[in-house]
Amino acid sequence: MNELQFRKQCIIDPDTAEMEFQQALETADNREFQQQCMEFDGKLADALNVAAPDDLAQRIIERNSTQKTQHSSSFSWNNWRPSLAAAASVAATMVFAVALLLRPQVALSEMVIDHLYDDINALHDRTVVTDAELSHILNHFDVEIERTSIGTLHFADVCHIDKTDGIHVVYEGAKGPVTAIYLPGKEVKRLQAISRDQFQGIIFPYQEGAMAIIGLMGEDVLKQKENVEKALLWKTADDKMQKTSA
Amino acid sequence: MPGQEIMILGKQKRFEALVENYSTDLFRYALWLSHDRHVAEDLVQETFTRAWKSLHQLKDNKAEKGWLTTILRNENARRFQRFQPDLVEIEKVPLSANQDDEPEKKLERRILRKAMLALDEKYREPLILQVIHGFSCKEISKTMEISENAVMTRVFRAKQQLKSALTETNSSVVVRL
Repeated sequence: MNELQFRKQCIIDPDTAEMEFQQALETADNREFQQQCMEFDGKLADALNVAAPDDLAQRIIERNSTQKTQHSSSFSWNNWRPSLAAAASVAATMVFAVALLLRPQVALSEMVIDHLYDDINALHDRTVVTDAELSHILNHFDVEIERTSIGTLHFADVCHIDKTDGIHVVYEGAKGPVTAIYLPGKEVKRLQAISRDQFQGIIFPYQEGAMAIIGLMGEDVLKQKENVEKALLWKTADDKMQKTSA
Repeated sequence: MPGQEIMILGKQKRFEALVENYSTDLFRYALWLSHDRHVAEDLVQETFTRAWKSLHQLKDNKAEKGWLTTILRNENARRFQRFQPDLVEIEKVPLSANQDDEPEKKLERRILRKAMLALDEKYREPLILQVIHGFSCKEISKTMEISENAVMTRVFRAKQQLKSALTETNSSVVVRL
């Protein structure tokens, strides 16, 4: 390690345990320079050392306990600025029409919407799910998503509802984030309406399980159902064979 | 079921230990990222809310700090995707109670803080991770998802800039005297 390399390394991390660096410390000049760098780092640490609120830890723990027992409803309308009047009108018409035909099955639909509230942050997520992330998640379910049929995909993960692993995705709908949750092996007899607070949606039999699609009030969830069904490409027995042989 | 209760109690205990051990450092990191006390507190709160939900994913206790830091970074990135906040002068933020009030040190602190705020974000963040969290360049590289060489270059440049700020201001004070 030459003089220049030593000095650079010393500025970056004067406390490094790197062998060459330690050997270079055998000279008095280098040790003095190391001392100066350490002093400067000390000044930096001192300057960055801002006070945290005394009761911060306590407040975090308390708030976490409260959140566990209550549904979080921190969804911010401002993120999407929906036209409330129009949305309410479309929502009322749609939910009423669906509800006329169908009686909601409390158990699974309630669990799904509970899950949506438990994972409310997924609705705030504005990152775009990469192909690699998506295929990693969908791999467990023998399905692919053809992205052009749905809006930008902001969230995708495996969810766990009623002892079943399912697919949970959030994409951009016409009125805001739309959540689609597929639960293999779960049974719903027919399409049913779901709604709570500012959310409305449907749950229906799909493939060998149940699919829930939930959007903000005013979202045309039947249209979203079409989009989601179009987007999901299920692997055939041949595909699976090919995958196994590959 | 008793088994489940024991698991929940274990999770709660682990969570509380994480909060006790890391909330202060995470708050400092968040404050230097956001420049706003309230935003910093929200970021830390949100970080721990997410951590609670994904606690089962944290297998290695040695990775706790890096794991929480990554969650906080992501939360901060989401905040920026939602809106551009107004920045507040961090100089108004109180120092830790154990800091002395010697005028010379106070001046140095003020200069360094000002220079820190003037640093480009890409230089400031690795430096904060090193100074506040005590992360090695390798750990910073993992957290920020950039190469270790890039981290070293950024930390080097950040420190050089801060040093210059300190030297320039000190000499101008000497000249004025």
